[in-house]
Amino acid sequence: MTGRWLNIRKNWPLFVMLAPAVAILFVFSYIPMAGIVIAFQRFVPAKGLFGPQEWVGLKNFAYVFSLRNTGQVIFNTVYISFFKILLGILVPLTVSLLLNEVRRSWYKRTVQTIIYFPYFISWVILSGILFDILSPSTGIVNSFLGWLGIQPIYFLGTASVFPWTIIFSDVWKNYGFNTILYMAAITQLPQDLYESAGMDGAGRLRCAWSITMPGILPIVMLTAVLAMGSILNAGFEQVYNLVSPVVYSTGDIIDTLVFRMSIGSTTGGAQYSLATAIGLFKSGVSFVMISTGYYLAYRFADYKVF
Amino acid sequence: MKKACLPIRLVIVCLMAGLLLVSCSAPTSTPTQGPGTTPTPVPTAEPADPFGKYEPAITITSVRDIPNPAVVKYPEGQDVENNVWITTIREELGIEVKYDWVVDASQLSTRINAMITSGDFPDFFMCSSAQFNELGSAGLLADLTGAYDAYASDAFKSAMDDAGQAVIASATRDGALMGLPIIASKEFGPMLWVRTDWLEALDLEEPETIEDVIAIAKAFATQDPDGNQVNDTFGIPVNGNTSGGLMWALGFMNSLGSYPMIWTENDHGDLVYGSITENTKNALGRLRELYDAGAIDPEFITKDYWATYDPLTSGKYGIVYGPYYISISPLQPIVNNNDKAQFKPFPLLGPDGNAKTQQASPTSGYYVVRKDCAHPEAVIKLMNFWYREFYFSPDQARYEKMINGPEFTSIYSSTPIMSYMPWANLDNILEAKRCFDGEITEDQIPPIGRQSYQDVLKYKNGDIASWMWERVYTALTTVMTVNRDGDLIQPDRNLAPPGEAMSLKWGTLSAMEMEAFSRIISGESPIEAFDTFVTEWKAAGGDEVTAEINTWFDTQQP
Repeated sequence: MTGRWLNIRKNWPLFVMLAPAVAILFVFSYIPMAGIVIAFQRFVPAKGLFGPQEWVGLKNFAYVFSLRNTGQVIFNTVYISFFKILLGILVPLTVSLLLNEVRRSWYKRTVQTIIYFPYFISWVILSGILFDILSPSTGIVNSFLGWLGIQPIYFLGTASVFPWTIIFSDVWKNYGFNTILYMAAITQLPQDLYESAGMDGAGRLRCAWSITMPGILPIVMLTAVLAMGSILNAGFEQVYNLVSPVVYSTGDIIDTLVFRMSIGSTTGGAQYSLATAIGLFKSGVSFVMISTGYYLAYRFADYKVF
Repeated sequence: MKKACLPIRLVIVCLMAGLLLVSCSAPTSTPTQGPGTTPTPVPTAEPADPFGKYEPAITITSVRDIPNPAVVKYPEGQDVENNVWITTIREELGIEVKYDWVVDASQLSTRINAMITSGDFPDFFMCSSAQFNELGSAGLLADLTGAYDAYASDAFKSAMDDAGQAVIASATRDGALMGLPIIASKEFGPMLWVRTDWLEALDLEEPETIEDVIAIAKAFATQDPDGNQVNDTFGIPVNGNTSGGLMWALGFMNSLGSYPMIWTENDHGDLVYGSITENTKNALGRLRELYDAGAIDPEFITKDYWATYDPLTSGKYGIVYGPYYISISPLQPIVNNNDKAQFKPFPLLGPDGNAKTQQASPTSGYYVVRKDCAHPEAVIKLMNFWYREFYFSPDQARYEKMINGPEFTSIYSSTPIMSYMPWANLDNILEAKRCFDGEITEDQIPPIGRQSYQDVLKYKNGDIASWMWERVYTALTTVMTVNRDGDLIQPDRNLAPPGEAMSLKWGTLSAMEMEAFSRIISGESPIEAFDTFVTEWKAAGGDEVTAEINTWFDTQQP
């Protein structure tokens, strides 16, 4: 007991700095949880948040899962999300390993900055750019493919191609960020390991495989575990801005479906109950996924976040 | 390494703290207006003066949207809360209009929903049909019947009468007027615009039927009407990436007797949804035919309403279905770049004779007054003021001050309240026509009509920038008169407050519709897929919604 107090007294600036973050979490993540009750009501805003609302049990959930295309939409979500997570780890991992072997630091930094840049552009703006550069008639990508003798591809208007356009554009936008994360982890590795390995005759490939890879595995596991929690978030902002009715069959995800059903429809009035029900469902799945991921990471890589 | 991280953490923590402060301070910047903020007594002078001034002045609170600042410019030094409309209302009516908050137009509906949930209302505000119904059922609105009967001006009352009994009934609950409907103009339905210089270039006749239009559209797409030796022109624009309907194609579909997105009455006196009729199937088939012929942009499926503007303004389209004012935007830039370009407006051409043009909804929302508002009649006076200044400006000086002085686009965002008169633009322009016909002199035209008269003269004297106003004049005098006299307006007959099935299922049903339509036009699905769509639409709640709306419709019959 005294030891804990001593700890707090010694480190009080850290606790003070932590306080706002805890407060934010409490105000914006814990208090709003009370609103989950809406998922089990037929919520009418005019009656007030905790007013005399009508309770409907699981009817909202039942309705969403009774829709003709809900199964397809969940599949789309998991499909897009899974490959985003997978490539979102593999691509930056590869790039950071390669960049790590580059000796000239100015080159390394330039590349890092350039690939990091798209990360800062919002999807609203980026979607406009993508519509332009991916256009089959005027887009630069298809002009390029034309030189290679490939027929124009309607990346955003063909149902079979659309999910991969989403996956690759997302990976392209975000891999700079994760590359920097992994690069930072690599620089933390003790240099003497490389020196002694070099003395034992290990080449650069062997070093990368036997020292760098295991060295940064924890941070890779961490990003993977955290990402698994978002398996049902296939990226609302991105898909909402790029999707069109023709590619609903492969490109519609849970979030865009819910948006249209609940808030996007001006005719019917906002359906908060539906949106909340789906949100709750997604949170449940995320909880299971992140727990499983955490357990697996502990079981197979002996890695613990907490 | 551990140490080096500390400053970064500090920065993050500080950022978060800043965020927290911002988030917390936001609500306090929107002061709450309790019922006791307007304690001024009602004026003692004759209480039924529609324009009577409050002495001393009263304060009325509201909330509103502000438009995109890139599009709407206020005159120097003015803004949404301080402009010629607000100050004139204060000086002449003794009503001080204050906004509890203003928000970007795209956020308005969401913000009003949040406001309704919180239960903290201003004195009056604009809301949707769904919100109106919700507020009314919860007993939160003031009964305006007495205030309307006593205070509404003649212009206001005639606008309501022209809008029709259905509109008034939609704002009425148990015989009491609970909101002021925002009346839609009957002039906004699509008409047919054809590029006549292209007709001449290809040696084609002006169209007389829809078949002519289809043939011309194909010719425009394939025979290089702009003569630049590049195959870069299309027939008609269609926007396929939309949740709000194929706006650019509506006129084409109307011409074939299809009225998508709205409810029309069938022979049995029931309302049917226009998007699931045989005529719509046929119209989609013809659009598919145009798509296959290259007359529709092959990339239309990813283009929304505004993305279609780009090729439109650069003159890639020879046939455009749009309202009388599309000459202002998007067509005027075409003429700016090419003074040979000319568009001619026609009424919608059906298989034989003219077709009806669809009017989205006779009302686009409601102004409602909070139940315990001390001066509900002040809102009626604001509407009286709007109608007088906007449509019946008494003299030129007044017109210059209220309409011409402010940048035109900012008028709608300056006045605290607005609505339309169903036929006012046409009536005003017909006065200008009477002057051209020599029946009256220029001085006798009311100010708004006079403006139009002068613009047409300017264009005739070679001012290319006035082309758009001359076309507005022509479209109204030649096409709109045909539409009005021939009763060629097809209004949405559904003014029911959204029922349970509608509220729950409409978002899903609309998405099904848009998916089916754009897939059929683009050839992703065969035309037979339309029947599958109709079956699925009905099963997924369409039948329920139809029943709901017809139950309401039966109660509206005398």
